[in-house]
Amino acid sequence: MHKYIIKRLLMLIPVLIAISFILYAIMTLTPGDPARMILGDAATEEGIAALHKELGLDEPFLTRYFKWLLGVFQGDFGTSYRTRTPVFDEILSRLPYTCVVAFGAISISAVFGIVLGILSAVKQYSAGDNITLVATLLLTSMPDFWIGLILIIVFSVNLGLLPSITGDSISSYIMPWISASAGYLASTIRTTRSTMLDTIHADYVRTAKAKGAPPVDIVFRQSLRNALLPVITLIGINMGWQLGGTIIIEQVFAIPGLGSLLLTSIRMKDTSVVVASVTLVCLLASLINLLADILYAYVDPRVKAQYSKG
Amino acid sequence: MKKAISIILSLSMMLSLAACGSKTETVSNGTGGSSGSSETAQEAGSSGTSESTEVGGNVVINESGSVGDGSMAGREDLTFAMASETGSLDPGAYNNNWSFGVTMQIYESLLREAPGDRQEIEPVLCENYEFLDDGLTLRFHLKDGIKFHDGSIMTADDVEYSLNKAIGMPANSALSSMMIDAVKVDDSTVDLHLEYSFEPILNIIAFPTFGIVNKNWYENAEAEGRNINTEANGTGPYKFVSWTRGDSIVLEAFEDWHGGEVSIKDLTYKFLTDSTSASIALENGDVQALLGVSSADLKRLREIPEIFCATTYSSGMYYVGLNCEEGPFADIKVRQAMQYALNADEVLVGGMDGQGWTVTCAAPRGVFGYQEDFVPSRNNIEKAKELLEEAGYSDGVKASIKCAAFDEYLMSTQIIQEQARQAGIELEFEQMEETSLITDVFENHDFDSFYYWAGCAYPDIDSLYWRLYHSDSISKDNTAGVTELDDKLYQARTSHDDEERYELYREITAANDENVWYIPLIMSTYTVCVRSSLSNVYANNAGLYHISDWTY
Amino acid sequence: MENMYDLKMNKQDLEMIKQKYKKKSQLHSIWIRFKKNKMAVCALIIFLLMVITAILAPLFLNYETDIIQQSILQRNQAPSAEHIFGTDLYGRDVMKRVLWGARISLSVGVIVVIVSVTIGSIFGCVSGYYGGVIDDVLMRVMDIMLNIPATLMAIAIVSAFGNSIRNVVIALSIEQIPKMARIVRSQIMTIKNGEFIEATHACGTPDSRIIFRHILPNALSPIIVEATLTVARSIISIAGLSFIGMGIQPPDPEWGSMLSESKRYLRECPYLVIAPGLAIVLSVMTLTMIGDGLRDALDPKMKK
Repeated sequence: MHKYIIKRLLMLIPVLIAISFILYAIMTLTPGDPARMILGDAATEEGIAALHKELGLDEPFLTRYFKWLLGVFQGDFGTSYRTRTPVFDEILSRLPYTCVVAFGAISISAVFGIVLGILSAVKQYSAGDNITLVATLLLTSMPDFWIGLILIIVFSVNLGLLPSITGDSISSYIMPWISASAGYLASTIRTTRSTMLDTIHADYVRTAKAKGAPPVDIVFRQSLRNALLPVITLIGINMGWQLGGTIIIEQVFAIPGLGSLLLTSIRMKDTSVVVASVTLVCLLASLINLLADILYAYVDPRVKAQYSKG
Repeated sequence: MKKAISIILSLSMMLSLAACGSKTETVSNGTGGSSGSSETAQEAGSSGTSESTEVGGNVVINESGSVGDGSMAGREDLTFAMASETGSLDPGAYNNNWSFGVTMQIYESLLREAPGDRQEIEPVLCENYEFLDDGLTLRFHLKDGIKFHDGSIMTADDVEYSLNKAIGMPANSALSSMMIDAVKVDDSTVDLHLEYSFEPILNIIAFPTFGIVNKNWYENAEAEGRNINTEANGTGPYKFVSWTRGDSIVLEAFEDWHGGEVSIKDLTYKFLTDSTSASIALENGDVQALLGVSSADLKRLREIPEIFCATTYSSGMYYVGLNCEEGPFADIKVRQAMQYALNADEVLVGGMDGQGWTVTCAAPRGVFGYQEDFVPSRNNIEKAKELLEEAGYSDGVKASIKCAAFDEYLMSTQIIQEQARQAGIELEFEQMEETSLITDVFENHDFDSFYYWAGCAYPDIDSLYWRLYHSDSISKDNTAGVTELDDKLYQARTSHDDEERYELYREITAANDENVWYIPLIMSTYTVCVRSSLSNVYANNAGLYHISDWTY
Repeated sequence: MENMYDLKMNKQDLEMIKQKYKKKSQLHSIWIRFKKNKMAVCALIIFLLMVITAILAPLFLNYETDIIQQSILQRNQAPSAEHIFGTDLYGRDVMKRVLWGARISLSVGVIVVIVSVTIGSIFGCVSGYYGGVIDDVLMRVMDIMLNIPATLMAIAIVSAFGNSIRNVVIALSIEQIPKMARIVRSQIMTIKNGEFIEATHACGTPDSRIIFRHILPNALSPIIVEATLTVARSIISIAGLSFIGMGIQPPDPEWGSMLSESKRYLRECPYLVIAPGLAIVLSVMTLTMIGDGLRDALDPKMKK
């Protein structure tokens, strides 16, 4: 098992390096000059040249990339052209906002998703089940930014209930949470429901029922554990997507998170910020996926055996 | 003499660039040049074209500052929302509104412009100043006992150091190109040496990027583990407290400020990138001042009595540039057709929600030389089609139009695209990042047409006309490659006869109308929106707001 | 009169007859199973209506006068008898633009599906069939592609290489290829060990023939289901990209860019948000239901 984990971790490194190289190349080799962007209208030839020197933009691409990479191994992720502050600080200051949105959304979708999924499975074919099915279908079909826009119209503009700027209060996160979690809520409900149905109808449960075990017991002891495993993996995958997918939500709600930092940096051609943040997000997503897989393995000995072999 | 002129002109061009804020995501906030001549308040949105229909902005300019309605009298805190985040706290690092708007509360320059009148210069850190050596030296007699936020006293060394530092910073390279260096004469006198005498020098020195820093503090910053971009130590009325990245910057009143006590003690700059939520915040009173809303929101905010919109002319205008050397627009008839196809009123209403004015020539209203009564050859689809036929394009012309990916450009360009299509000119829409646009258009001349903005350094039409039409134009704005107007431009510049100058500029405007090198269309306002309870808020199209003047 | 028991009948003829009816009955039974799912059939009807409207739109709508012609004086008008969903910021009828927008979204979706199914299947086939090192490497590459959040990748590609439909399709395809590849791969791996494949090996059939003529046809079911879901996902993805300004260029009425334009006037004209959003929801929902129905119909043993 440990070998498997180490193998996965080691595989991450070349993958991340590849991603960072591709991104650095894309940012550097495509037209558009960050110095121009920073100086704006006041750009003169000498001003641009001076800024190039100051920011190290006059060196060839490969030199710049390898310098950056070397820095990364020493913990220095480069400096933002735009703010002249270390990239690490930039990212760190924006990460909390994105994390609040992402973790909040995942928690909501996990908790409500599992509960509703179980209820739906247990009461299969009831009115509630059907409504849930249709509702999940609707939710997956709605783009998250549309949900966000509608929420803003209803709650912020017309009712004035929720603040429209994200800031210090928790209430300002409610609408982003709802928008971001909708899709994942739906998929969690569906997955939970279907795995629950599978296990409920499985032979060993029928045996327990035949033996006279009470229904609650059946649901919770026999079915739940097995049913939840795929859900764990799903949550892991969703988490990774959340981290990267908040860009659009952040645009809608003007959240100063990692996503909006990324968009601004892409516009300003702030290479180090872009490469570092994307690579970081990929790393986090991979780690979370790995965590989900490990969790799965520990809970399900069959899977554990499979991993130990490989 | 000619060299001096061209230097002056390139200077003024650069000054305009520097004085102008950089483009923001929402509203075009040009700066530089004031509505110096006493323009009266009412300016209807519709231009003088004969076919204007029920369009028009009816935007009013506020010359006088706001007079508080007293509803929040005695309040001491202010939250100022901006559409974009500050770049750096170092006064010379950036010259856009989002940066110097904040640093000018923390750092002061030797001089400042009087609120409401950009031509009147007041001394701040000096007792007085004088011109020596035929204007080649500007001597400042410094005030005594001015404290920095860390308690140290400002010395002539600090001033000398600050000026030289500012001269050397890339963001100032345009502004400081006529400055040689600053030299300390004695403990209370500093001289600034210029390459040649230049009148607007006082406005330049008053600009926030020439803020005075503490030499020791600044020089030893790295050694002592300080980051000059995220920390501050100035002489200004507000000292820096904290900066929450992506969210806000907090300042508080400096008790030992040499200017006395300020009314607003707690000042927070909040970065609200979304115009809709920002305007909601202003309406709710969650913020009390707002810079950089979209024209759609601006239009609505004007109607609200609790909100005061300090409005003035922007310092620039929006225009369509055409490639006169290659491509479909190389043919003069096609260019003329394009001009006839366009309806500036519709562009104003549709592209800018009427928040601005149409222009008759390539200059904003409010500057000397603006051709008030000139009627450009626009707004005639039939004529456009005729011209295309004469040029041999009865089946239509295909070309492309580039613009930067900001709402202020996107919307207008779509309208332009559609108007051109009505005449038979099919424009392919190419939106791109601003840097790419600048590279393509100004450096590589790789375009058929583009829609962009150009601003004035100071309130004279010469500052834009020289940039756009002179063959020596350093800024590369002369994308049309005009060479035949050099003499006229020179003559107009050097003349001291206002009537003669006006007439010459009229001739140049007519020449542009004939040859269609550029198609100037509209201009925007420069507006800061505040709660009506605030007084002393003056419109300033360089974006210079001294919060220390404001009070509830 | 032909006697069924006439042993003189060719064995080959018999086989041929069996095959013919076998195929027919297979499709037939799939359709019967599909029909049982009322919701799926409903969805199919609605979706076909959408497709027909999209294809036939040029017959009752004129691109120039109805879709892109502006009428600035009539901008931002509320819904009325004349304009059922109101007019947008340039005075264009929202309803007509939404109808026309179906052409764009659906055609982009179809192209993305074709590209991702083709390339994804190739990857999946090669990976699943040959296994070993090739499989490892290809799956790592797929993992990389899966790990980069799709929106990020799309933004990077589009902002670097320019705003065009081609780049958007590339970006969206990159998002979908790994999913398709995985499905194909697992199907291939399951099937290749079946007995009838052993038989083809014994015959000495070349690999490509085995893959394309014997394995792939049996793997079709999940591919088809995934394809429908891919179209659905593409519609949402492209709406998202257009929403932040990358993708379909004006004046084309893509639903996402229509939503983006309406954001500016959210307070004055909240109704502008309704029509394009509903269009997205409707198309994605029907596609998802069709996909689910197909999944049940093609292989009733397949789990949800």
